[in-house]
Amino acid sequence: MFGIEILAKLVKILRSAASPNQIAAGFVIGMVIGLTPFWTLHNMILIVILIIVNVNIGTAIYSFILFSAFAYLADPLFHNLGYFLLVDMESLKNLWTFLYNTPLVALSRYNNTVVIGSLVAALILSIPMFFLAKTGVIYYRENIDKKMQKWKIVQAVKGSKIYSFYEKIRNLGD
Amino acid sequence: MHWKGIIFLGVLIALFVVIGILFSDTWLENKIENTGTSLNGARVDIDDLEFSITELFIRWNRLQITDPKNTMMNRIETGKCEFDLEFLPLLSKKLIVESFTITDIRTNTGRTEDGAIEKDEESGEPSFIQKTADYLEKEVSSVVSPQFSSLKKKANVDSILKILDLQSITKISNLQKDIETKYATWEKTFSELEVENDLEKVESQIKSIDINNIKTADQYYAATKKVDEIYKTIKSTSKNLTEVEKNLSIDLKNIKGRILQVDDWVKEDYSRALSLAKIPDINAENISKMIFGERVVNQITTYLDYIATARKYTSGFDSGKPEKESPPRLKGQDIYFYNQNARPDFWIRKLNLTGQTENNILLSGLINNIVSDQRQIGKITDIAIEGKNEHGVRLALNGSLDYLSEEPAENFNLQYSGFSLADYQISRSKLIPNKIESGTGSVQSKLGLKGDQIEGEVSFTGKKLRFDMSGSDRGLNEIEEIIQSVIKSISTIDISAKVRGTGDNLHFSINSNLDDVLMNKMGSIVNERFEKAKKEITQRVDYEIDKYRAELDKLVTEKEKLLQTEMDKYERMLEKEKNRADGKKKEIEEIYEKEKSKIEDKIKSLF
Repeated sequence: MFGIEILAKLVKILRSAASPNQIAAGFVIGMVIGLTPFWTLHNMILIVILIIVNVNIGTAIYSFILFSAFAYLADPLFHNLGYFLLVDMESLKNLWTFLYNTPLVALSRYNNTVVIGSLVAALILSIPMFFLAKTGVIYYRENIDKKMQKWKIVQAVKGSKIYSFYEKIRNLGD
Repeated sequence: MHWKGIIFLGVLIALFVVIGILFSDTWLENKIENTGTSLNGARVDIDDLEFSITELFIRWNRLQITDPKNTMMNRIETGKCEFDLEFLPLLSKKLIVESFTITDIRTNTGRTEDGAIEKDEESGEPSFIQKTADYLEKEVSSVVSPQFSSLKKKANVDSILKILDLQSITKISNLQKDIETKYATWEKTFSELEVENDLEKVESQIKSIDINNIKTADQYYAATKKVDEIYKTIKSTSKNLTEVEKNLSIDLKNIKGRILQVDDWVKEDYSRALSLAKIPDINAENISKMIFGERVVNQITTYLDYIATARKYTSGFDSGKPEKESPPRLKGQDIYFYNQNARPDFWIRKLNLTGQTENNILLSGLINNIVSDQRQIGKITDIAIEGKNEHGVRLALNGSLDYLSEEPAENFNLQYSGFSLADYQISRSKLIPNKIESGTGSVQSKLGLKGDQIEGEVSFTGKKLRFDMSGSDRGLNEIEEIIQSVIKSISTIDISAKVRGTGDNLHFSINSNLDDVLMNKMGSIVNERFEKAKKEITQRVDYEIDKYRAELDKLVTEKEKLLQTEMDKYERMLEKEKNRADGKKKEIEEIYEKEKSKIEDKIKSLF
């Protein structure tokens, strides 16, 4: 049931009143948190933004889970990118040295190869991902959703006793 | 705006602050203990740490630093410790402490539980300090400590050689293989040399200049040009040959140097064989090493341990390019950015300490500038600790750690005088098992390191000594009787140990006032008793090794001769062609002079 619930919640988000911008922003914030090591200063700031600002938290959680798994696989790439930025790029050395001695920034762990590598990769990805997610939501709402509702399997699932029973149980907590 | 979210965030922060206040002490205690343990190589324990986030101070009631060499003892134990932290540097992950106070510092205290930890095996090339410590320990352990009572006059040479596994043989064989490879490389180099071809060309070029055909200025010019080319070829061949000769001579010299090692390998085998036969190699140079070596080396290596730790953690981060590591997933590699003008990552400006030693010396001292990188503050770390007790026992330790320049330098001076030697066992050797009943001692030691250079001296004087002679009447053999009679008769012991050297070239010696006394009395007996067995063993070792040695010597002599002959041949050929070229040049010049004078005569006759 867990898989169905995840899928159902995702569909619910896509069909909710949240605007495509809110959903896309949530997706991107979740992606940045997921791609970079969790206990970092920028992630704490992003979590605060996520809580305060009107973005879709559900999407952020989904994207965080998805990109955390991806980050584990892509770790060597992030390490290499981070090493390249911190060590090989001589032109950036003065900037890094300045930041190393700057209050608060020093606490951000930017001088770790995986932190800086994944953060830069996440920031580069964030703009195209925002527009991709936004376009995806709009496309889903305009084209896929109506068709999906007509699918026999969806109607069959919705009409089944198990689904009614599941909905009753789920609504108990509301 | 998510108002619910803001309220949730507020609650979360409040919860975080409360948890922080409740658990920060435990968290910080664990953090400091773990860091200290990894620095020390054995457990560091802190009791009752208290941290104030508002006043930014840390204090604890007790600190125990386990001795890594004896993990049931503490190297240092303290009472109350307290220090204030500067706030702003904390935001830059820097720990700056203005003043650190340690009270009731004590040394060599017992532990209730074992302070050992599991250690990761150190990889890579050992440091100079590690090499020095290993050398000193090897120097002492290589001197056989004889147990005279169990000695036999005759040794079973066959069985000793059976167990011994002569290491010289393997080493000589490996050396021979290396040398053969080197010679093969040289033979290939000679076979590929173009000298012979070049010189043949030179010869044919010289022959092609027909002096009798030089009639005109053009012909003279062509012949001179040819000679110049010949000289050019000779010059470049000569240059090549000189280079080859230079390299050959370096290699041959290196080979000879490596062959000299064979003597040391054989000596090591002698020493191991004598050790197996329990035959002491006693002489005036090593008798003190045998008796006092372990204690002295222990004192020096303790200093070296401290210095190695200081060099590892406080000599600053290398400002060069860091090596790329392969860290575990999601961990990454931290890169440090050195800035001479920034504040260091860690700095205790002043460390005040008070305490007392096991013999009630009240200590007080000051250590200035314990810092992660001295270059950032432009100051060295200096140590001054002193103390005395009511019986006139004095202790003073002064030192400095200087990591401001490229070469790290450390200096320590210890003066400890007037302490009681009662119940003290002066030697760990079985030669002097007696404890001292009464007497006073003083120690002076100096240790200086600069880069890969060490110079150290330890002097010990024991006065008004009276040894515990109980048990000295139990069936002793003649040598033990001599030793017992000597120590019974002496009331003063002076020991002086020196270590000095650079890199792999270290020297260590220990002398004492007992050396000559013991040698005079023991020498003849030792020689008479063991010389025959010793000679038998060394002869047998020589016999086993000699055939390999002879083979190596033969190889070196033959190959060296061969290569030298080859080199000489080329040199002779070159010289010969050079002479020919000189001759030809001279002939051309003579013709030139002759023709010149003819023309001059003709011109004169015209006028």
